[in-house]
Amino acid sequence: MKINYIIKYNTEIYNEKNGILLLDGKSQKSLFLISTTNLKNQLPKEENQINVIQSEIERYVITDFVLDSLFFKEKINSDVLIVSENIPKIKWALNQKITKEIDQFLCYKATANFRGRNYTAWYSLDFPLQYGPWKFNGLPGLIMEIYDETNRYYWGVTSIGFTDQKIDFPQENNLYKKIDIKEYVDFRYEKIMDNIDIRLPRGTQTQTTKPSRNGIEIKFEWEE
Amino acid sequence: MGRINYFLALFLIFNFSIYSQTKILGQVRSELNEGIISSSVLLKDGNNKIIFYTFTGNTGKYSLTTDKLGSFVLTASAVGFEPKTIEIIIEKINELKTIDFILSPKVIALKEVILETKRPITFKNDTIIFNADSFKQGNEQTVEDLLKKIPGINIDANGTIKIGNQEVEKVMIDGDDMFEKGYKILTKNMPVNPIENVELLQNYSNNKHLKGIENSNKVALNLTLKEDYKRAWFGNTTLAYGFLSENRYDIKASLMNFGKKYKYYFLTNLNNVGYDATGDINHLIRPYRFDEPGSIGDNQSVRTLLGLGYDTPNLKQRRVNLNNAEMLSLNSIFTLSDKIKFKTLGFLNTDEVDFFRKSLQSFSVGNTSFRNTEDFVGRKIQLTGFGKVDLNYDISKTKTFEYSGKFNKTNDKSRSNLSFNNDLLNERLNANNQLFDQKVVFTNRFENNKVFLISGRYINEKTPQSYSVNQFIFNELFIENANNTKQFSENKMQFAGVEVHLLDKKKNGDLLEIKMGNQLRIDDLNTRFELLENEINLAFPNGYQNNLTYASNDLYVSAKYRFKLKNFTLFTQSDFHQLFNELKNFQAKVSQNPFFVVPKIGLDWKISQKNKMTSSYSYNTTNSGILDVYSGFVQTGFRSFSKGLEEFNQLNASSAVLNYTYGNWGDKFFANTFILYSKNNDFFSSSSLIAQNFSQTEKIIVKDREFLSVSSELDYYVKKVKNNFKAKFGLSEINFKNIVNNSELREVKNLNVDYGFEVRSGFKGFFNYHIGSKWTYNQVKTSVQNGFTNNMTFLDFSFMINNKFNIQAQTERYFFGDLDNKKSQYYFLDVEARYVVKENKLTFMLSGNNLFNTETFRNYNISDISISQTEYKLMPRYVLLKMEYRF
Repeated sequence: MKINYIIKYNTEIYNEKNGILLLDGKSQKSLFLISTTNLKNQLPKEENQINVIQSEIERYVITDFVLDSLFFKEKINSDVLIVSENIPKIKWALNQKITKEIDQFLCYKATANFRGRNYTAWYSLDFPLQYGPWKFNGLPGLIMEIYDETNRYYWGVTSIGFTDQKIDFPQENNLYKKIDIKEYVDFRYEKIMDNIDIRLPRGTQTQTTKPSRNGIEIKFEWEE
Repeated sequence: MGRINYFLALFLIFNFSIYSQTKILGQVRSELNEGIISSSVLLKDGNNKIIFYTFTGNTGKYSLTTDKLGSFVLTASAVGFEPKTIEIIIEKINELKTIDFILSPKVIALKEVILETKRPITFKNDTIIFNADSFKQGNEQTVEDLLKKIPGINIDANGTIKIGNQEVEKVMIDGDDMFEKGYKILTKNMPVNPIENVELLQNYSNNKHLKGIENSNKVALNLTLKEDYKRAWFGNTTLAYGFLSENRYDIKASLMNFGKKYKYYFLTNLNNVGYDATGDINHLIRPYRFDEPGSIGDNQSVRTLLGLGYDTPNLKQRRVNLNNAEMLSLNSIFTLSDKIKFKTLGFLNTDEVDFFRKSLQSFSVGNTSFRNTEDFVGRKIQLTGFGKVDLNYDISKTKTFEYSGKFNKTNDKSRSNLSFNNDLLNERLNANNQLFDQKVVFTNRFENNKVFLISGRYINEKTPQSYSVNQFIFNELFIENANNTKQFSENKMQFAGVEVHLLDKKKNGDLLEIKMGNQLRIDDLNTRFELLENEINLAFPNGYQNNLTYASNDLYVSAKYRFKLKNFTLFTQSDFHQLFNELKNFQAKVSQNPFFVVPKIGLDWKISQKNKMTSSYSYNTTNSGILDVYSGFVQTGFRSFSKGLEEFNQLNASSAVLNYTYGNWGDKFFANTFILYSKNNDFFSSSSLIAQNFSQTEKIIVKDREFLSVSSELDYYVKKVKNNFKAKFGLSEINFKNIVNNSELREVKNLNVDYGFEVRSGFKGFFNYHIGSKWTYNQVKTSVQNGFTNNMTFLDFSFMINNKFNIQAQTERYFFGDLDNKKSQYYFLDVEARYVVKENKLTFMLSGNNLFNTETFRNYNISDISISQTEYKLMPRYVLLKMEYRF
């Protein structure tokens, strides 16, 4: 099966991307691809404009329920990384009293805190699948829409298709640096240069507060 | 057999468990008896509520547990199959149930489904609309609190709003702007409840019809108000009072009310701590619109000829501005109908500024050399009244008419006690400024990518000045036996201009602009210098009077084209000017009708993602202004006179600019270099006569002047130590010729070199520092060479104890080279502590200014004729206790 999502990163610079969730039901594996280009590249990049968007690479998440493993490809600064972890167990709270219709599908509400953010998911029992976009999984039906409470991140189904095509799972483990999730956190949050106020001329009053984690994942299991 | 073992194993495990649970297991199979992988199995209670769910593994098997009793529904479903439901009853705990499902294939073929869904955020071309209610979490007080919850918007600790790393241009309310860059006063004070939507406007244009046509990368925010919102007054106030010093205070209050139809904003400030409150509304008085369509006449103003020498050293405003100011400003916007908007702005400002200056000047030119000492104590009392009216009328969707009218009146009264060598002089200067300014702009977007603007403007500005000195020091110049002098002068300017502007954006993004217009400027300069004995006029000396009318009419066409080719952007501009100049001096009349072309060409080259270059070249012709052409001497200071050339001229110059950038701003390494070179084929220089008691300067035209300016900046961020290193280098050199005391044309070379470094930490903890030092070398070379080096070093600390409490300390050291006495070093320390009692509600601050109590500051200066030392009095030490409160 092939499910298309629209992803909205309502971050420092708003942008939208395409997400494609490919399912291999037989081997219980899924591949979630995140498009390279922004659908809506908001701010025109002018010469000399302060702009620190990383040139995007194709990111993806591979979830394997048989091996209980999850790989994702990320780019941090100029490093491309393959990060491995076990499939995160998300403790969903189902609330079947609250429903909403997304197009013709009746969807049920489920909420969970996953790695520091509170998410609301709407899943449909019309598609009895435990898969979802990005690292989300484990609901009784397909996740049709999911967003965090601050609306910073949003994933929503745009189309659902059926295909018999064999899925080409990327085999890039040897091409890039492979690290585990704990090393990734260190890379992502501890080593990044996250304060460019430091360049500003004197007299600009910068009252820099401790830079906060601003990615999708902000708090990890072992940190609790 | 295998199956039985499996059951047995589970059974055993089950029996050993201490929990009282019912286990249900089984297999989901297809009609072909194959296990269905990844099918869902849901256990629902009587209310159809899911109490447990699982998915089958790779043989189609599942297992689930429950501790509940009663009747349940068990549903198995899989993609491509019809779901199947089995009712079960669990009567006792610790039961093991085996339930298998056989699913039949779905009859309806699987088709692709495309979903039509509502998105929480709406897009309209370049506008992103956020519905305020969907982002509220209930604890928001001010607009800023709401904006913080909208993720794409970043707000830093002092309230600056950025989209990405770009600051917003303005924050409007229902499309009305009252604050421009001073929007913080709005976002930090306005309550959140009236806001309906927050609109993020990208590629923003100040003239809405130019949207998408002019090249803009501006960002702005617009807040729309709820229809039924009941208007309320809100605002804030800052009260500060000094201790450890004489009576120091700073009081500021703002009051606002925004409704659909009427919007009001009042601001008042009273202070004697050196703060210039008109700066807060300056952007409203003279909106800064550089090179924008419809900005005709923005560069027209009148300059005054005489000042009392109120120069201040190059230090922070609050160190040198010994003021006592009161300001009141009232602004409102009235929406008369959907199409008509009316804006008014008025302000009153009074200020009393004191100046204290002691200087020693050593002149040395040729065989003449002498020393002058001045001890100056002056006070200026200023009263300003300003009014502005704007009318905006949208004739249709594509047509807008705008009117803007301004009126300004400033009265300056200055007097000084000046001890000049051994004489005690009293100077009095009464100066006024009267401005009357009218502008109309009509915009028509007659095609989707073509805009046509007509703008017209009339300005009338007058600057009368009357100046008197109670002593007569010009015995060498005049034979009269006078004992005091007076000068009355008036410089009056009238400007009338009409301009037609067409912008045409081509399909490929190239932009063609054509401008055509006529601008007439008439200047009247009347000056009367008189010699008196007590109250009796002795003479109006010849050659010290002016009665001049200078009219300059400029008929022009300008064409600009900007096109892009791969990594290159090329723009060309040609301006054609036909001038009609007429000069009437007393009765004599001369005229001239020159024609000239000003070509300009520019090239931007994006060599690679990291290497960028911009360059431009232009050949300019500048028409002379009123201050270049007057023929009689005008007194410009207590001992100085100057005069113009008596005839008009167009001066030619070529200039070239090159800018090179390596890296992007956020990169670890970033460097920028800027080079400007200009060569004046002919230029206005001076011929001066300098004596101890007077100086007379007249303009002359001299060939060849060269100017070179280079500035370079380099940033390097060292990740390991979390510090940014910055190095700066600048050089400017100017070579020209002038005449002093009837010398030959003498060559003057000015060289100015500065270099410095800065290190700034980016620690994540509570402490950060910023240190830097800059050296400036000045050199003037005539027949002799003089040079000296100054240095300024600063060290700033910031302590962010927590979100509520922080301390900032700034220290500075100034060092002046080549000053013979000991007082060549100055130290300053300012500290500010801030405690937030309640965010956006109540804040206390303690700010200490000039804590080392450095009371005077001495500058060293060289020019081609003199070396001088000047000592200024500074704002003495004070400590202010401040309270900021929002209501």
